[in-house]
Amino acid sequence: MSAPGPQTALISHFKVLLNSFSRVYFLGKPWVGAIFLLLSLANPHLAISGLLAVVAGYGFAYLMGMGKEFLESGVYTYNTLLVGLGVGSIYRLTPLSVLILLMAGLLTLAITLALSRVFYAYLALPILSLPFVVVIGAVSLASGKYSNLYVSSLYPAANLLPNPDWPAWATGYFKCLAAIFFLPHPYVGLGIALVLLAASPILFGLSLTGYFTGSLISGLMTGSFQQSFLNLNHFNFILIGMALGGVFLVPSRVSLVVSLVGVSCSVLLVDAVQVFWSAYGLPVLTLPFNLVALTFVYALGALKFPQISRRILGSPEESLDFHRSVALRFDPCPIGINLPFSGAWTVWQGFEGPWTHQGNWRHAYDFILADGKGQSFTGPGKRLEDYLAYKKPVLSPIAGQVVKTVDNLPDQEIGQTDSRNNWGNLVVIRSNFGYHVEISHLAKESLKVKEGDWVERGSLLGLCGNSGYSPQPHIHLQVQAGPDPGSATLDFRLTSYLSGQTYFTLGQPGKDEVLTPLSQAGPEPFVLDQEIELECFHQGTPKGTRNLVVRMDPEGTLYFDSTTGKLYFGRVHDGHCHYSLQGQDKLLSSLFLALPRLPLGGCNDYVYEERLPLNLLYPGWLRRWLLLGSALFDLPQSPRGVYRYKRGVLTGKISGPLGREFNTEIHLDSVVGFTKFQVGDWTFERKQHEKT
Amino acid sequence: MKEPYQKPSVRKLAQGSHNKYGSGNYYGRKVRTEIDGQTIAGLVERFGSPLFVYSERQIKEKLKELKTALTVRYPKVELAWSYKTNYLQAICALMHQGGSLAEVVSQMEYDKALGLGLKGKEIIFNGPYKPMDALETAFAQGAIVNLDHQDELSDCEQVATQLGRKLKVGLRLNLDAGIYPQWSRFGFNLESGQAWEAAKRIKAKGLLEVNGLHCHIGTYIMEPEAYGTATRKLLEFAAKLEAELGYKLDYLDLGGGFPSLSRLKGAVLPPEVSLPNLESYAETITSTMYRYLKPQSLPTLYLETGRALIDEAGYLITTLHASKRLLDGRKAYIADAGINLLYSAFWYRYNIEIEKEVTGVNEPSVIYGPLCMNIDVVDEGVLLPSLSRGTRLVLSPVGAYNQTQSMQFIGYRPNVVLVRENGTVDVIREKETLSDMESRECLPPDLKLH
Ligand SMILES: Cc1ncc(COP(=O)(O)O)c(C=O)c1O
Repeated sequence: MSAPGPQTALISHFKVLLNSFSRVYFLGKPWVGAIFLLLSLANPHLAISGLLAVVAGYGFAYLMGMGKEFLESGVYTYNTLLVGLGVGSIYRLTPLSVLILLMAGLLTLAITLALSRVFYAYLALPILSLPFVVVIGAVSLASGKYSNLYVSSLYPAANLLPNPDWPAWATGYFKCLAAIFFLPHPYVGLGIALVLLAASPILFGLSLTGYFTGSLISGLMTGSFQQSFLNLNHFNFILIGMALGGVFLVPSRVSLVVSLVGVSCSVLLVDAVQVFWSAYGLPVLTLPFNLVALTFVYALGALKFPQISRRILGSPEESLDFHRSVALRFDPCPIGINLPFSGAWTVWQGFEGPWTHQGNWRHAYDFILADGKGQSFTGPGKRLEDYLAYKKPVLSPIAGQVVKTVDNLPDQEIGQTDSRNNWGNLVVIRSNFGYHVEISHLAKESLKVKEGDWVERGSLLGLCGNSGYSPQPHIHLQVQAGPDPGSATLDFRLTSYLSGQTYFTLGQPGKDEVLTPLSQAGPEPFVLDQEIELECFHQGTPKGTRNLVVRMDPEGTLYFDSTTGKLYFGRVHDGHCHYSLQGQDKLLSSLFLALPRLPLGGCNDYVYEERLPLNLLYPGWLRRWLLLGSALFDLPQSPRGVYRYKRGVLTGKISGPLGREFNTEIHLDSVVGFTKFQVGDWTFERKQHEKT
Repeated sequence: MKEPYQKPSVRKLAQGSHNKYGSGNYYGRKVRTEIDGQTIAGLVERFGSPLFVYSERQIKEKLKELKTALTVRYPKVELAWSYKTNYLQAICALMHQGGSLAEVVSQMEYDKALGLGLKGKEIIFNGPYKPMDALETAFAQGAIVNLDHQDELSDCEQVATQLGRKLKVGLRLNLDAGIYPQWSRFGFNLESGQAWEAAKRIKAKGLLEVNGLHCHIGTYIMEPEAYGTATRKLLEFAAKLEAELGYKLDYLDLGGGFPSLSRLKGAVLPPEVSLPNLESYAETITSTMYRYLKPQSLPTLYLETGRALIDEAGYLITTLHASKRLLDGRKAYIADAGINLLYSAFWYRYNIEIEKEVTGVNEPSVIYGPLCMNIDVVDEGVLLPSLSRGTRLVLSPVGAYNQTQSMQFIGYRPNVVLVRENGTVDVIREKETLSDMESRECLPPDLKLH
């Protein structure tokens, strides 16, 4: 590995262009775009029209100073491309057609920008190719009046390639696949199919299931399969199948079913729109696809369907990989609070506990202190003082304002309980995020805060006691919507703790687990614009020096930029976490493997297990087939790393499908993050005096 | 879990002097037949006499007791094992495995800690004598250094200049915590303004930065409130440091000094009764800290507890070699262990237990060591029945300060063993031989006899 030179601006602009081509088939891969571009040269007028429109749209956006990520993704320019291709499929290149092309291209960009804001803000939906439908509709309607254009530019879509003699179903499928590009030719379709197969077996499969499901149903209805395979509008089935089965939903068996249901329903629309729109001389285009995909995604979102993709990446495989590792690594529960104590306490009763944590009060914890044998008292256990938890400090689990306190109820002797004032002495704190935390059964007159006080995480609230309905001294903790003691509880998680020896960033521990909160974290070791210089070694031989720079994406997420890849990271509940790797980079994937997460609060000895994204371990093609298998059969499991931290060194044992196994080691430093790390045969050493 | 059935048994009275007959009774016996399942006879048979015996179980239990007492009250606590208390490798290693850092007061102790695999930043370097090269190493390796005096402060500034960066240092303070005698010879005095002067000087020079305060008010402190006072005074000083000089405290180090269950000479009550437990020390310290600190910026609390962690886990088995009658009529025994092995005999009266039941009436007895020196007295008056030659006694607690301060004097030092939790016994220091003792000697050739 050697340090790659800085990419020229030209290359990155070119990538945008290629990405627009690949986005037409839901892929974000420049090489796929390049091949599609080549394929579109089957009709040079069309290819050049498409290119012109994208260049115009992109150039305009670039001159307007729009953000890099925004432009690079290709999502915003692919509508422009489609419009360009659409215009090119009707008109040959002449000055007049170029003019209309530019008008249409810029209009598309404007509509895309405007609509995408509205759609995102109000419906949390992407706009797909709606702008294209609108603009091409407009062009078709308007050009009826442009007789000048008509005369000079209209051309019969010349068939440059010979037609093969394939069975109707094959010709139909390939033609439809290519029709998405306005090049309804079987050979072009074959080319596209091969690219899809290589780039994303899942998309390829979905294009097949989508097309044939839709066409067969349509054939059944009309009574002629021959006619059905001849209908070019059936490319909508392909798009719907792919969008639902692999793009907006994370690929899985359930998503496949959804996509087939979507395709089946869309048969109605495809045929209806055809009748209706052709009355006005409008092509059907992608309207059915847009309607069905958007409606389904919105409806499933409203139902909180778990397979909705949280982040749409370069391909369904990438989304699946990301979703799998993210879903397994990050609990989406929005409320996470610290433990309300210091030291190692035991869960006496957890969520849905059998005694009192039921119904409206099911989201609650009771904690006691116990000795190594699980006993909560010394001596006979008849007096309050015998109990280890009694009069131990209770600390605030959140930052917020104290809104309710009770401090004067007596601590009940062992064997007695006060069911009239069942919550006993208590504190209710309103979080800055709106929810409330109630802590109960505190010792009489032990409160150190009063109503109206602002507290920090870790502020001393009072001492553990036995007031109220409490059989033995313990801390009761619950999260609730309102400030009144004993309000109905909300679901929540505990953050930044060890259970036994195992570290949890966020967790929901069960009964009898012994929990130790980590002390509050210091600052993040990696800050924006920081440059990290690393010397690389492979099996001990130097392989040059590489630089990482910490940057921030438009959503505010930090990442390490190595110029060939991006490693996203952030702070999750007092822990440093690597989220995902985009691009290919040994250095970044090694860093992720060596350090998937790191608690920033002080702790000298812990273990944890991590599910890791496949893209850290497997090359593209292999990963794609592994992921297809995993989507259909829930196999193989994602790779897993078992990590152990001891006195400054985190060592990991990684094992993944196909017998991949190796060790990692990273030397951590509280000031600079890490000093060196090793993954398999590779070692990376931090250079000493670097800029910060 | 159901406990396995055990046959009921009647044990003879084996309490100390504190039983229902009161002290000084004629038939009270202290008997210890085993240490963690290893019989006294068996141990001596395998490893000889005298024999130091440590209990891994007790070491771990005590460490956990102290650590728990502190951590359930305060979230940022680190113990630092005070090497001088006992720096046998196995003992230090047990402490480190249990999560303790090292507290050292000399280059030798520093080297020992490194040798056991600790990193610089896991070592707290204290003491009045830190030679220049020791300071250089410590700072280069990131150790926590607590300054003892003005000259050392200048030395550190020199090191900072050499290393070309600002160094973080702690100040050792001495203060009046109501303890007599006040250990005023170590560190900078608080009340007289010496400490404040030192801090101002550090600020003025700008080569160092104060990030910690240290204070060791003494050893065998029987009054928890003294720690409350020390904590309060240190935190008031810290507040002043922050307000006026902008120094923020990373740690507060309260030194050692908690008592072990050992009986000082002249103490009337047995230690179990007279001494506060570790919980009360933890309570006083941490509740004082909460009163003065904000949760966002809690300093780490370091404790350098030595004696209280190791003393009770150490036993010395000694064999009675002979008995005689003294002129005043008292019975005297000559044991095979004396003050060469028991430095703490100068202050402590050990708990003396017989290896087995012995009949007969108690009488006041003296136990002498084997040295041919008048001061070699292990106990001047203990009530024992008449014991035959070869009887073994178990002395405790002897885990603190005896190993490190034992003298190579007159005889060989004995084996030291560790009774492991898994039921085995490991030798952790072999008994001395003549060649050990002479290995560093050089006899000029012309002085050789032939
Ligand atoms: C600086 C310092 N820390 C810790 C200790 C350990 O003290 P103790 O054994 O009383 O706990 C001592 C003992 O003299 C000491 O001087």
